[in-house]
Amino acid sequence: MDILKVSHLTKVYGKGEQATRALDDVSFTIPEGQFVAIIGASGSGKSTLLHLIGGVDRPTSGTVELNGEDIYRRSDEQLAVFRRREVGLVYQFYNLVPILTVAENITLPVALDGRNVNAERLTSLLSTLGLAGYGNRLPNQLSGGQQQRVAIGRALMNNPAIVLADEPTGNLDTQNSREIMALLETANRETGQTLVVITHDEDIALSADRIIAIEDGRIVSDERIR
Amino acid sequence: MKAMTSFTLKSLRSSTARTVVTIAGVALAAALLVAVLSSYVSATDYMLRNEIAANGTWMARSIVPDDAQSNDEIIAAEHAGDVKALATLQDVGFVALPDEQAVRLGTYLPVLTGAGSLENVCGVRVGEGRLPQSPDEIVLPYSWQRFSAASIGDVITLDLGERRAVQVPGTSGGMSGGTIEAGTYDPELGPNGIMYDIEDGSPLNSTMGYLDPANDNGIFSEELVNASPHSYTVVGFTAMDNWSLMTGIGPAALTVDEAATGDIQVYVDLTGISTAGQLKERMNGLFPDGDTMMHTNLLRYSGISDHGSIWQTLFYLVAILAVIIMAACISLIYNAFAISVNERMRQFGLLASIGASKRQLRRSVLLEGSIIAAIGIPLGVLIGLGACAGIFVWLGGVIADMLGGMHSDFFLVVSWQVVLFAVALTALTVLVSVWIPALRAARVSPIDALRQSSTVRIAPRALRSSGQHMRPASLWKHRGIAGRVFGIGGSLASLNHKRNASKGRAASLSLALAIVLLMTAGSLSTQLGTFTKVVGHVSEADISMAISLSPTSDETVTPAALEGTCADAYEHASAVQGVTPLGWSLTSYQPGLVPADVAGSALKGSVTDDSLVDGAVPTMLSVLYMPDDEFAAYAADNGITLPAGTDTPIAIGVREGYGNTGTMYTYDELFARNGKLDIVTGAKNASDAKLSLVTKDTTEDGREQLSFVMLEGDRVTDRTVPADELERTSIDVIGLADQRPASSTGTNGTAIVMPMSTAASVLPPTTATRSLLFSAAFDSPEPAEAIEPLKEIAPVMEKAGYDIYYNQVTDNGAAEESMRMAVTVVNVFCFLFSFILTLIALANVFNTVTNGLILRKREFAVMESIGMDARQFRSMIGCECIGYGMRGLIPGIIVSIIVSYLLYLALSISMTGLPFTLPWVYLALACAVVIVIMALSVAYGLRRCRKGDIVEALRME
Repeated sequence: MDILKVSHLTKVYGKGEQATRALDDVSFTIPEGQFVAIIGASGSGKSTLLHLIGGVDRPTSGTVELNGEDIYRRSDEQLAVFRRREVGLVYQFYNLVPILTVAENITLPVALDGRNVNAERLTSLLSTLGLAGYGNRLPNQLSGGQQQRVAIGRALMNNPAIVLADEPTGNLDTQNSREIMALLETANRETGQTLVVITHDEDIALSADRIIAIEDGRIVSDERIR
Repeated sequence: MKAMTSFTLKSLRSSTARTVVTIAGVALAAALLVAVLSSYVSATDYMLRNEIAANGTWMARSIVPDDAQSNDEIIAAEHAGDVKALATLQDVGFVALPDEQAVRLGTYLPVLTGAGSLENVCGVRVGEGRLPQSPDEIVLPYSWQRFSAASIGDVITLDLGERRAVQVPGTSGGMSGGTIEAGTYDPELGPNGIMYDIEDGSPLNSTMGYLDPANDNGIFSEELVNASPHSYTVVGFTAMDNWSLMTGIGPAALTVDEAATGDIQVYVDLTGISTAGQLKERMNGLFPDGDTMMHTNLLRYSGISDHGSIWQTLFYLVAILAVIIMAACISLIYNAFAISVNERMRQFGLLASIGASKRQLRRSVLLEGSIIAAIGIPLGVLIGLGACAGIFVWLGGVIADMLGGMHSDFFLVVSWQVVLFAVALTALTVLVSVWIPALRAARVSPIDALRQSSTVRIAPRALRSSGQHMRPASLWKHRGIAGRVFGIGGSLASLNHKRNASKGRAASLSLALAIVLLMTAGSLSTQLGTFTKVVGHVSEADISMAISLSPTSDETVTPAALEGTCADAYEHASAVQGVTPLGWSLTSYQPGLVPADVAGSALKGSVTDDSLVDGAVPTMLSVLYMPDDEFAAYAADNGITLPAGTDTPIAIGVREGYGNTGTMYTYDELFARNGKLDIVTGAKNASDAKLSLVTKDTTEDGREQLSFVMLEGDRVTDRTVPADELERTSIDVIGLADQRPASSTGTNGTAIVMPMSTAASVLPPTTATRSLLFSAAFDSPEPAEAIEPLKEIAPVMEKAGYDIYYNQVTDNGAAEESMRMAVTVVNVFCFLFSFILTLIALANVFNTVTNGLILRKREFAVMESIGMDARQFRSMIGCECIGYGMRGLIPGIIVSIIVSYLLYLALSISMTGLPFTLPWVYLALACAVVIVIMALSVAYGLRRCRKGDIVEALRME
């Protein structure tokens, strides 16, 4: 079953002569539980695509359907709810909230949702992430790899349908990169979460189920490799 | 180094707006400092020039007898290296003036002979004619030109004699300190003047006042002896009665007479004197036996002796304002630099990563500061001096009036020390503001800066308080009050306050400062407003008339007769061409007893507790009787409802009084509330007495008694009357008015206003010796023309059977105009000061709040991307604002109240009784303005945050 359906997605930044077509009529579907790698040169539109799937941006035209529902028919308010419940986002530069502790950063989406924190879930997540005992640390007391693991924890906390990662290892050494990808892949395999990763790293791309290549805002190849 | 310089210049150019704001901030700081300090220097300099023009350059005067030793001392002094100039005045003799002249010109005309540079040293100048050159020429005092028939070229004969003290027969003892000249008391030197020991037959010189047994303990009077006629040709009149010619006995005439034998006054101007003590010592060296007196005003204005009260007030005002300006500017400039450095942290990291040393980075920031200072400070100095010069050209005349001078023009005095001081102070401000950000820039670690992860430094304390062990169940529970009320948004806000206090502190500090600045401006204008009201109290009417009335017979002393005469005179006055009558009143001075709870603070403060009589303050009351209809109108004007009919006579109390003790202005609260008081109408068994002064003591058997100075017939006697023997009439004060009626000419002293119809019960049945004051007020388009006709009213009253010895008609127009201008000066000053301070304060709030938000753009974007909705975001920002606001407003309000009180203390030095009122309106206004600006800044900051969308912020490298 396709969890995600992207149809004729177009995003134009700017107006008139300065208009840039970041995405140009992109269509594809992703079945539930698939691990998709998106590759492409800088400025090819990968990140724009990821943000549009994650409900962070709004498209110029086209639709993004998650579980058969067009997410951009939602109001801004509903879109925020969508982001906190259905999507987990991981960035290259971690983007943690500096004033919040590790535990607080991870559980922020739960708190934003007005629910109580499931202590068991948090504890097991922390140990899965190798962060047991770091719950009370602040982001700037952690290494880059640890910060990225916190970001992954935050993305996974709400058991989202789909996890989107924008070059999650771009800022890390090989060892840390491997660990991070292992975490994401484990989540993908064990909970059946759909995983979309933007990457420059050939190894990561090759470990995915499918590779979509983007150039100048268009899909130039879409290969299922596993 | 060159690379760093060009890098700094580029970065300054790249953020033009902030560079301009910062330069403007530095310029404003320099301008305000230069302006405030230069105004002070200009005022002091003006007073010095004014004093020199009026009274000459002498620093001290010594009085020596005319003998060989003294003459040697004078010659030696003339040749002493540190004596800049010297002049002498010597008594030639005294002329007794006939009674009709004595009233205006003094009992005697002292004739002096002068030598040395009289014009410079003593400020002696002729207004008309020339100075005398021979023993038969004379210059008469300025006042003689108006009040005598003498004119230049006249030959007059004066009977010159010598003054001798005469002991009143039957008295004993001598007198020391008979005349303390000029009545000054110097905190450094004690009484500044001469203490004379006087006994029967002592010669008296021109510096001593007239010995009058009525004033001088009843021991001494004086006589003129050895009078012989001298003929003089009048060659001129003095320009004014200046200090050295205004002797203790009256304005002096000047001749040249080598043969004079009286005491010699030596006036000396010295160099190299820096303290009053030094001056006194030097004078003692020059004239060991002389009595030395200081020219205190001159010493004060030239900074040699301590300043008098009004100068102290000015000095403290200047000091308080300078501190506040500095604080405001440090905050503004510091914030601007902190923001600039913060924004460029990445650049610094980059530079550090490619090999810039810490020193180079620090220098880059310091260079930025220097460039801004180098442009801002000279600009500010020019603006400050230019603005001062402009304002002084515009309002110089009025400022001169306010400072009480008339002999020279008020203009800007540029002192290089002041400019240097202001430049140094501003440079220091910039240095302090730049140093901390510079250190921070140098401390930056290249990696942190590049990763932008060092922007938040969390206080370890804040973390510890959140618990050593993570307790998942308690996460996000009860994050402060904000969290409980506003949910997750509030929780985040309170976490932000707790863990990231430093960012909030800048905003809170700028808010606090804004409140303080706005309140300072407010307090300044409120309190200077009261000050001008008190200092320059002027009647509202164009013309005031005051005529004293002494009834000459039992028929004319009755209230009915008095009312009739006054009404008649008023009617005559009202008929004068172009005059609009505003009302009249009749004032009688009567002893009264005001219960302590009714008496205001100033009245209560005038006596000690054990001087109270039956719990009431004994005082002299001015009782103003008004025609009944005018009384009713006065009551209505003051919102007082008159009772329909009462047994007790009713009155309206006047709440405030203004006074001037010579060195201090007073602002007196005379009545605190309504209530009954007693007027003493006489004493049993002494119905004929006119009671005047009231003091109290207790008899041996414990009975309270009052002592009165009584006028029985024509004799003045002291009498004590037991309190229970006084005849009293109870008066019901039914309301309090802020001001006296327009017709009243007085401003100080305790006053009550009563309707004329009740006068019969209060005015004691006295003899004709009682004197009362008739006063009336008029408006007129041409007050000057109405003065003379109005002076003709007094004779009307004289014809009705009253003695008149005082008849004054005053044109208030001129006084009013100068008063209005004085208020303008104060307002212009307050307005400019407030305006600039407000700009600084608001720019500061805007800068810190806006930048605080913009720097968190990415944080906001992250929160949004993980699902924070708009409502949650709004409540987070809202709660943060409330937090900053509370942390800013509360300390701001406290500090501003303190500053307001300090300003009040500064004014209190030269004005007593001024109540401390907190300018609530300004406080509320300040808070409102600050809140509005904060709201606008937040709105602007958020708009800037949202300008690019979340995506862009998230990608922000």
